Parts: sequence; structure tokens; C-alpha cells
Amino acid sequence: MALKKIFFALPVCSSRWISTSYSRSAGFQGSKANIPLEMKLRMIERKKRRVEKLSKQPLAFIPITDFFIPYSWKMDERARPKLEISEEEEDKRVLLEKEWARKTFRSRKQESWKIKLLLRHQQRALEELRQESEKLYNAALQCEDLSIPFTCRGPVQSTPLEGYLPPLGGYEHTDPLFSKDDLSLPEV
Amino acid sequence: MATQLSSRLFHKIKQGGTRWFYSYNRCIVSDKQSLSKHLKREVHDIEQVSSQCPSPWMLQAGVCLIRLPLIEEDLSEFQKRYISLKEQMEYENSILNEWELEKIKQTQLMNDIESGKRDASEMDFKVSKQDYEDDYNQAFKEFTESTTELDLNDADFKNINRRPKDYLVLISKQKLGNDTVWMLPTEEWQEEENLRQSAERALTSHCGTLVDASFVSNAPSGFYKYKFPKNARTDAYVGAKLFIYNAFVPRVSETQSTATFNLDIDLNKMLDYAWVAKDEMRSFLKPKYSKAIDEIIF
Repeated sequence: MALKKIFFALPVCSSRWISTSYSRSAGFQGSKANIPLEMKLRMIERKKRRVEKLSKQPLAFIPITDFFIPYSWKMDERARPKLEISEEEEDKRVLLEKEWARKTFRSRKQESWKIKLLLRHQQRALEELRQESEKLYNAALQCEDLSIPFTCRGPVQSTPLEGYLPPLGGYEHTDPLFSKDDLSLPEV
Repeated sequence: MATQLSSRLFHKIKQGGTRWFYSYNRCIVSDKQSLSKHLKREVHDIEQVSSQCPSPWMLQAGVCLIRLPLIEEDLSEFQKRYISLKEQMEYENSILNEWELEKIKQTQLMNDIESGKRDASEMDFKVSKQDYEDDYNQAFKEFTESTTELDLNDADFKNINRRPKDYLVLISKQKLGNDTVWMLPTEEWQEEENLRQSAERALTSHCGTLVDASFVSNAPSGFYKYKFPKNARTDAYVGAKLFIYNAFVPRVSETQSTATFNLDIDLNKMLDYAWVAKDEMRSFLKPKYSKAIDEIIF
């Protein structure tokens, strides 16, 4: 009777790291390594038939699988050597994060205040216009179709280099939209 | 009666909480909604009155042509520190990528060959990844040293691409009576015309028809009231109410950091023009006028 060898992956936990670094559930990696040739050929044929079946169906969009982490990334050789961070450094980092939170809150408040000011000025202008003539006031309240949707280009990062001509055109997406075949055939 | 009212007012103020407004008729209004009702009543009276005697204010429409910033603002010291911290943390929490794995293997191989553990025939590369990296860094260094960014002339007020990190406004020098005054391009409102149409007319009459500007709404964005100098005042008009409309100059393209301004000046109206940032406005315009525009430009 052949002894079954069961491989376990030792979980090495660390609170600082995200789970991409260590293999938690690598599964039975080598269970299909030593199979007789006939069985392998049979498996390949079965997969070919499945692929033929799928190719008859209409094309489906490829699902977004960014959140599936490949197993090869969870191996130990991929782990970056750990840096020792002193307590002082940690304290500094935490304080910096808190200061950032304060500053973003403040800048958000300033922005919303500026928007309120803009609206206030417009309201005041409309009130003054109303005091002058009702007809112009009603004309000013009309909603205009042309400016919606309003597009406005934000600033660029730097000035151009001297004598540099940027290439014309935009970007084209070359990602495959449709799935060609779901199953990949293993090597014999 | 008056004493009763005043005592109630004091009592309310002591309690705190609600905001009290005084309207024209000196009665106490408790919140904003009832204030607007008051204003409406006032307007009714004016409507009836205006048919009898017209208002002494001339209606004018002005254009605040804004050129939005072309280049991002510089990062502050704090922002740079925070960005470097975030990059550091992301680097620490990441895993090695394929390039780095290869680099480690190659250095290991080279060390083993040198020390004699492995045979020199196992070298499967001619140029190591580390050498490639050094080449790239060298090339980048040479590139940054050899090329320079365009030097913009910030002193020329007529250049639309000056001061690319700020919001700029177009100001023109016009005749007001006998004096020449720096102000926004304005036109008097004429009959059978919208205020927005008179603002567009102001732009085309001052800068020509080739100017590309997108107006945003039919309602004015700002307001400024001023009295004419005494020698310019007529029986009909004491002063003018200026309604300011915001318009934006579009950029040439997404990747370019320039804007174009096709000018076709009518020299009778616009004697001179300038693209001016917020801090420079004070030297051109009167303080109240510059304040009125300052808060409209974001």
C-alpha cells in the first residue's frame, strides 16, 4: 500500500505583513505530479472536450481577477527581508499620519467654504438683479443645456522641454475583453 | 410697545440660539426664510414704483475671463514628507518582484562562482540585471542634466501662458468719462437682450470674435455696484450695477500645458489688456473691485 504523503504549509504569521507574503493555504501542491501516462492523456482529452464545448458558447467578458493572488507570490522566496523599525520611528510615523488627517480635514473645509462663497456671491447678484427687473431675473434663472456636462481639463505636472514635440493621439486599451478558453492544458 | 419689543429682543439674545435680522421696516425677523419673504414684498413695492420712476442704476454686464492653472502647484514640505513615508511603507509591505528575484539569483550565482562552489559554465546571462539598472540610472541622470524645461516669461502681462500655476483674469483698460480705468471688459445692457448675451457681446467687442471661451450659466457669478464720478453723473443714472459673468479659457489639449488666445483688439474700446493673478490685481484695480472679483475665481 502506497503511503500518502501529505504536505502541509507552515503558516508563519506576522501582524505587520499582508497575506500576500506568506502561504496560508497552499493546498496539495504536488498531488498530481506522479500519475501514470495513460491517466494523464485521458485527463488531457477530457479537458480538450470541455474546451470545445466552451468555444461553442458565445464570448463572455473576462472577469476582473485582480484580487486573486497567484500562489507563486505566496512562497517564502518572495518575502522581502524585514526592516527593523525602532519605536521612535514608529511614533514619528503615527504622528505624521495624524497631522495629515488634520491638514486634509482643514483643506476640505477651506474648499467647501470657497464653494459656499461662490454660491453666496451668485445669490446676491441674483437678488440685486431681481430688484432691478423681474424679466432679466427670470431669464437668468433659465437652465442652460450646452454647458452640461461641463468638461474642464486639470493642470499638467510640468512645463514641456525645450524643442519637445509631444506625440499626437491618445491611449488605446489593448487588454483582451473576451475569454478565449478558460482551461489551460498541462504539460505531459 | 417699543419697550416691550426691545425687552423681548434682549431676552432672546440672552437665550442665544436664533439669529435675528433687521429688515428695512425695523421689525424683527426670526430666520432666513421669513427674511426672503420680506425681500419679495419689498420687490413688489419696487416693481410698482419702478414703472413710475426708473432706477438710478445703469445695468452693465462684465466678463471675468479666467485662465485656469496650467501646471500643478508645488508640493509643500509636509506633503513631500508624507508622500515619502507612504512610499516607504508600501515598499516595506510589498513582496519581491521577478526582476528583483532574478537579480538576487544572479548575484548569488556570481558569488558562488567566485568562491568556487559552482562552475563558471552555469552563467546564463551576459549582462546582469544590476548592470542594466546602473545603465538606466546613468542615462536618466544624463537626460535630466542635459535637457531643461521651458523658461516662461512671467513679466509679460500680455502672455496668456505666464504664471502657469495661478488663476489668471483678463483685465482691460477702458475709458470711463475722461479717465482711463483698468477693469473687466464690460458692456452696457441694451433692450431686448439677456444679461448673458450682453456679457458675450462685451467679450467679442473687446477681444474680437476669434476668442474661445466657455460661459458657464445664465445667472451672473458676481456683483459690483459703483457710483459715477460727479462730472459723469446724469439725471438718469447715479451709478452702475455691474453683473459679472465667469468664462473659462480652454486648454489646447490634454497633454499640452499651454492655452491660446486669439486676439483681435478693438482699440477704441480696449486701450490695453493684461492677464493678471490675484496678488497683482490690487496694483491695477481699486481695492473693492478687486475684492469683488477675487472671491469669484475659486
